[in-house]
Amino acid sequence: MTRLFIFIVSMLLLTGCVQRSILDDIQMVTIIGYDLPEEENEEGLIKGVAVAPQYQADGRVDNSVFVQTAALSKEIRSQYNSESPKPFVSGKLEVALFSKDIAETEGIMELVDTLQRDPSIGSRVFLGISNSDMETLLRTNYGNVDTGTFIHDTLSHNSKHGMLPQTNLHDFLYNYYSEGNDPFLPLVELDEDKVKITGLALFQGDRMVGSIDAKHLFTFKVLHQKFSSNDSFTVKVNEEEHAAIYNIASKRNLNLKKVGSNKIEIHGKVLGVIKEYSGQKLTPAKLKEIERAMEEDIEKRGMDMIEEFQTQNIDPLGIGNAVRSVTRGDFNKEDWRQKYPDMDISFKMNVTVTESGVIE
Amino acid sequence: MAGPEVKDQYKVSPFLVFYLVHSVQVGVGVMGFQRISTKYAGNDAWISVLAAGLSLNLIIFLIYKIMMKEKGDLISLHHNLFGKWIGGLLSLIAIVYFIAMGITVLRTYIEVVQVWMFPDLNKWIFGTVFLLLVYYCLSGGFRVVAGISFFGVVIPFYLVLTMIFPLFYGHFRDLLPIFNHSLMELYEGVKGASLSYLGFTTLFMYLPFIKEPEKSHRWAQGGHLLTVFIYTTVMITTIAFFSPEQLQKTIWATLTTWKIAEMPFVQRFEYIGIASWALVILPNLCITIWAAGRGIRRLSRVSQQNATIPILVLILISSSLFARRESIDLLNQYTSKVGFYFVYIYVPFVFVFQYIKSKVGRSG
Repeated sequence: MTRLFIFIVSMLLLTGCVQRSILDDIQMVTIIGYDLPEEENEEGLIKGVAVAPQYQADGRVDNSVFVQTAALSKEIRSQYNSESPKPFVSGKLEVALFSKDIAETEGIMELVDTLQRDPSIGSRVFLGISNSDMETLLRTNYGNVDTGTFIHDTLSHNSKHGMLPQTNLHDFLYNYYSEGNDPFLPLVELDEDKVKITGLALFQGDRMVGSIDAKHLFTFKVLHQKFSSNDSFTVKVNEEEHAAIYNIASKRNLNLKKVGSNKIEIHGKVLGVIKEYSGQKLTPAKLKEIERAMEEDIEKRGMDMIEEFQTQNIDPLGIGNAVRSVTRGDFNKEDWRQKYPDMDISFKMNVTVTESGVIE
Repeated sequence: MAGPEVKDQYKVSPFLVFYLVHSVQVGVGVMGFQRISTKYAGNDAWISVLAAGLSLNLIIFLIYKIMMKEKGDLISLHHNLFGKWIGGLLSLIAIVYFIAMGITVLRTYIEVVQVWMFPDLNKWIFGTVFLLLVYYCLSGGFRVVAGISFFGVVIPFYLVLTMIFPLFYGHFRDLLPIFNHSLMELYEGVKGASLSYLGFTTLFMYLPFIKEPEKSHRWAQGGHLLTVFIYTTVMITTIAFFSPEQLQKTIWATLTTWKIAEMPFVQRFEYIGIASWALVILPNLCITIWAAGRGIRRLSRVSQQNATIPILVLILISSSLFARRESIDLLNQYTSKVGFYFVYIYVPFVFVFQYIKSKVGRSG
């Protein structure tokens, strides 16, 4: 009897101990953008733009935009609350964007810190850098969708199947805190009523120091990671002939055997299928020619890119971490930074065209 | 003092020791033991975790050697080896240690719920309700405790599968170069990993409740080996998932890896994981509090039920007194330090002492 009593009492006590959050009564922020304020007197402050979707009964999605300026991003949040009929929650955040100004002058770590500290924010949140005006970018109506999900999906499918390298909050933090990696983030821009990925922003620490144009993303991805993608890569075989390679599977291999004499070799291996060819007939000899043209093209772009990284002394490819993994004893980050620009890094490509479509 | 006489109807089968050992080990430690181990042993911390685990197999072997000779529990062992007063004092220390483990487990779990799920959770209400549940289990006697630990292992076992998610983000190069740390650093890593392995010393208390205790030895070893396997896997995954400095900033590395999990039906997996963890915590508390209550019952004339209630109140009050992260961290550190010396120094010492005493006793 007593046991039953205790049991029932426990059941009653176990319910309703904490504050509830009912979906209709909260403001779910799906995207947040940070910008520097325009006014002169607001120096040192941050302008935060948050977008929360409002799902209407007739299936429409309205996006409410909140703009506030404060010194800390959580302070911005309490200011949002003061102008919103419902309390803000951050558990559904999908994308956080930073203006290029912030990334280049102040660094974004202070703002990213609040994202990693908050347990309700997932590690898969996308971070991005934008050159467009943040408020315009987030006020734009992208159709009957919520802005956060729209930009999230754009970034998500491009990094899963496209040319954008894998990137999210966790990857950024991993690279930022790592001894031999430098972070990079996608660059996005407003393109009339769409959001376009225009390349990659490269960081040293948490400060943006350079960028890669969208047309070189494929080369970067080959250099950076193993992947397979549905996007195509266009090869210029000669003046008239072009070929498009798609269904690309790529692997990269680092040869670190000669690190002692400051030599590192990167091998890229690409398998692909020809989808489009502007020439007359695809003979085996022609295939070889296309393969070689693609190899040379990527090798050249890759070498330019690596040299650029070395002059800027940034290491988004994680070569430092690879060197650390073959270094006995303590790996010294500072020593490596000094040595890195003078390393002899070479890049070799190997392209194999496996099929040429359904037509011979 | 003779060992306790336990009627057959109160005893449990030897195979349940597998669950009793495993469930008391896996508790709050596994949520964040990675940070402490990697602080010293870096990317070789998994070796520390493995070494700590395998060395404890030896300690379990010693515990069985001691207990098979003693044919009793820790209280009678102390009494016979060290006499009534010193032995009694040592038993009391052991009881305090079991209670401290209970406090650590409950407070750390409440902290996790407060930080990760409900910041406005009232620790008094939650603690009271949880301890009522513990009392409910304990009032059924040791057989119920053994049953709870069985379910505490089997039901949340699916959580092991969630370690697959971070594997997709693993940088396995981070494990290289292997053996890049000195033995001293590895030893510090072993010390850091020990809190997550502790608790199996409750074996000293419940062995008389096992039918044919000698047969349970391999089950105890097996339960411990499962823990070693899980911890080593979790450690390797964590090292590959985080970069070293990032890991040093992460208090609950295991929970943070759940943040990467993505499922169609749930946005944040931690909510499910942490809630399931209550089932892992329950046998933890049950076993330690049962061991403490049993100790008091054997030391004095107080019945175990009457001893349990003050222990529960003590745990509730003292665990609620720890309010800050630092003090909770300190509590964890001290419990693990005491536990470390308990298993690695005290148990071998008792083994040797018992051996010498039996030799001297025979010749004299």
